[in-house]
Amino acid sequence: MKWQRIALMFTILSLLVVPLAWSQGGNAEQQVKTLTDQHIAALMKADTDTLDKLLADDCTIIRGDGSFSTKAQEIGNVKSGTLKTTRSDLQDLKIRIYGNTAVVTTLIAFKGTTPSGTPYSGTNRVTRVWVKQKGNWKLVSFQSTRVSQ
Amino acid sequence: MKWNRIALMLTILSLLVVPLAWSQSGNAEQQLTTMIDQVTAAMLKADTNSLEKLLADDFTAIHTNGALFTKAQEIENVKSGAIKWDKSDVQELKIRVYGHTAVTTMLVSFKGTISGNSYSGTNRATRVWVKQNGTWKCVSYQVTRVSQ
Repeated sequence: MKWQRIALMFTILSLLVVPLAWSQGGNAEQQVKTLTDQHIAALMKADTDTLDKLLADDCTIIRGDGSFSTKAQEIGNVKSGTLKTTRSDLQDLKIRIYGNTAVVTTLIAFKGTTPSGTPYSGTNRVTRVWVKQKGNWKLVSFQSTRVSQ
Repeated sequence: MKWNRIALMLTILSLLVVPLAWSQSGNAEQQLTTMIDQVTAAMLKADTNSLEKLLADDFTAIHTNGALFTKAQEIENVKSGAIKWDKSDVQELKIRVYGHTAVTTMLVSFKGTISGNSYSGTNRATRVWVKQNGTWKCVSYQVTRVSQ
């Protein structure tokens, strides 16, 4: 009788926990894809409120010119208008999930400026690393490299 | 009596597990510094056996020219000499650990050849590491030239 009760508890527990864990893993790719789209849209609209939510506090940004920015510096550059994104077309997107981390590599057609305000257009490869923190995916690393023509 | 026994078992379990977890996270930064030294040394020596072990099977590299390579392509390029590192001095290494993942960013004084073009200058590189079966593996490497 005692073991039956324990077995019943385990069954109920697994019925509750397993689908939850499964749905989170199953949806991770879709969630990360949506966040990548949101990040690009926020850069194009200079929507610093959304950037503030998407970027982790310790986010590091390496742009195509090799410049390094913290979260505060990146948001400051977007706010002041020195860093502009007028076009960012996703041409290729690959997502790899490792537990609570996602590595997203993309090929993009970019038009805009560097963080210091120099106009630039061309094709770049960008890697974004997202880490799930307290149930929300946050961008911890962004790096862009220009593709030689 | 029954609850005493359960409490004792839980105490023993936590005594075994907690220090193990603590020592692993405590050493993560040191482990990753060693991994970066090893991967740098392997690239400088064109030691493809070490690269085989250090890189995850789904590893991707994005080089300064924007080319993307898989693990097999990267190792083949090192073997053939299409990728050749002559100097790679790591400056400003930053390590961030998120559980079983780590992001390492660095400023590198570099000299070498990529896709047949020799180049020397300052680069910013990011390596992403994932702990797989107790061992850190590099899943992503990307490098960008710093404009002069």
